[in-house]
Amino acid sequence: MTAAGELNCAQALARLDTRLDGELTETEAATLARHLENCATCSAVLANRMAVRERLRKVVRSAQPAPGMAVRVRSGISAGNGRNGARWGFLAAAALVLLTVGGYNSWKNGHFRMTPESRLSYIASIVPEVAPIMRVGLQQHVHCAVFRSYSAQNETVAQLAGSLGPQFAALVPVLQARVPAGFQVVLAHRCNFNGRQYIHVVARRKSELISLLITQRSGGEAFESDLRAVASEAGTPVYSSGIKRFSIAGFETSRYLVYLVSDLSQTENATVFEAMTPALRTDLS
Amino acid sequence: MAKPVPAAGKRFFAKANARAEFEAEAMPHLDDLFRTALRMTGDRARADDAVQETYLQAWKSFDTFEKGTNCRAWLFRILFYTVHHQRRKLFRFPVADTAEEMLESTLAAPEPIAEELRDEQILGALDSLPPDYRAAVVLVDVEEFAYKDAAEIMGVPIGTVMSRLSRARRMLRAQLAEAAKSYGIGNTARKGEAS
Repeated sequence: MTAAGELNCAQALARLDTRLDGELTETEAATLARHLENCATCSAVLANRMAVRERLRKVVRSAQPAPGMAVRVRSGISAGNGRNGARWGFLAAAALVLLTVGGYNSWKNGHFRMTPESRLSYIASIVPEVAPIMRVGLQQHVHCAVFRSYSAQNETVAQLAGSLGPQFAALVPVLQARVPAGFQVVLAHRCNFNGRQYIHVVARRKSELISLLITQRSGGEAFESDLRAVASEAGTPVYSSGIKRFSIAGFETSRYLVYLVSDLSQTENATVFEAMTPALRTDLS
Repeated sequence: MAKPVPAAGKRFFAKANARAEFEAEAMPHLDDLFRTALRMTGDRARADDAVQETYLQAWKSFDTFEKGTNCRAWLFRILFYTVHHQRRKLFRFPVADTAEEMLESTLAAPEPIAEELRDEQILGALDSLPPDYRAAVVLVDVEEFAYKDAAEIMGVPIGTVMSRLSRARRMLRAQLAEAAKSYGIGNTARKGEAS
């Protein structure tokens, strides 16, 4: 046993690594130094460990990063600066793609608009609610006047009348003269639906529509007696009906079925129709 | 008359200043971080990734770095967090700790002689240590961190650093003594050729 405060070799050896780490307290370091001064064996072990550690340090430190590493780190940081922006940009692009694809599919599937199929099924859903003779006018109003996009620029009454041909040209001014204020004839043409030919004149006030429809009467077709007949001044029975937002009024001549279908109230629709009945009757005779 | 600098301008200049500071404080430690990452991950590509990620994270949180404190230790802390994170993700290292088993055979290890060791033996012995032990040796022996800093970098108490170091060095010595013994003849012959 050495003197108090002095180390034996085992104790000294146990402190060599801590000494190399530089983590001995001053007192510990001084005590170890005194032992090493007098002990060649422990000093040699310390020198060897120092040398091994130096070799270890050298070999680990010999590994260098690839030459471009610092550049990549710097550009990574610069990209990282705007990374939030880039990420939002990416998200925005992704969202745009989703909206475009989804939107296109929805459009294709008719979620945003009425496809020809959905139009027909809409017509099929409301038309049976009225008497068969009324359906003839209603279906074509919905099919041809309602499901249509109207251009902002209108043709004149004369131009429209011209497009119907001399036989029916007079219908355009007849309708224009009797529609409520603000309505404007915007369409006059021949059209057909379910194999039936129509003369079709449409007046429009913003989203409200009035259709005057004339079609050839085929055998046996007549306004039935159970429909409410509104006696007109001229003595022509006018029949009136309604379904959803549509009001239908009609009368018959020997050759034609004549309809006025509109978004007006049933009463107003009938009144407008009655007012033009005499003129129509004259024109269609 | 000096025009007032708009807020956006101030932010821009603050950013530019921070960037210059980061360049001066953090970038000089790139080599140290890389070689440590290389020892901890085992291959250059992973080390590369770990260092990139370390600098990115460091830059992002550079405003939380206390000026005047040890930037190198701060970067190493981020590196170890990153590597640890990658390691957990990759399951690259065996979870079972074979350290105790290895220690059994090292109780009376002879001292390896520095001149008898070749570089690849030293590196091989270091790399064969369990990761936590290897980390302690790399941080203290190679990177010359104080125990206190090594403890912070590894996120363990100082006592744990000391016991890991003590065990790691015993294992290292046993490995190196074994290596020197088996390659000793070849080593001597090569030395003879060289002289």
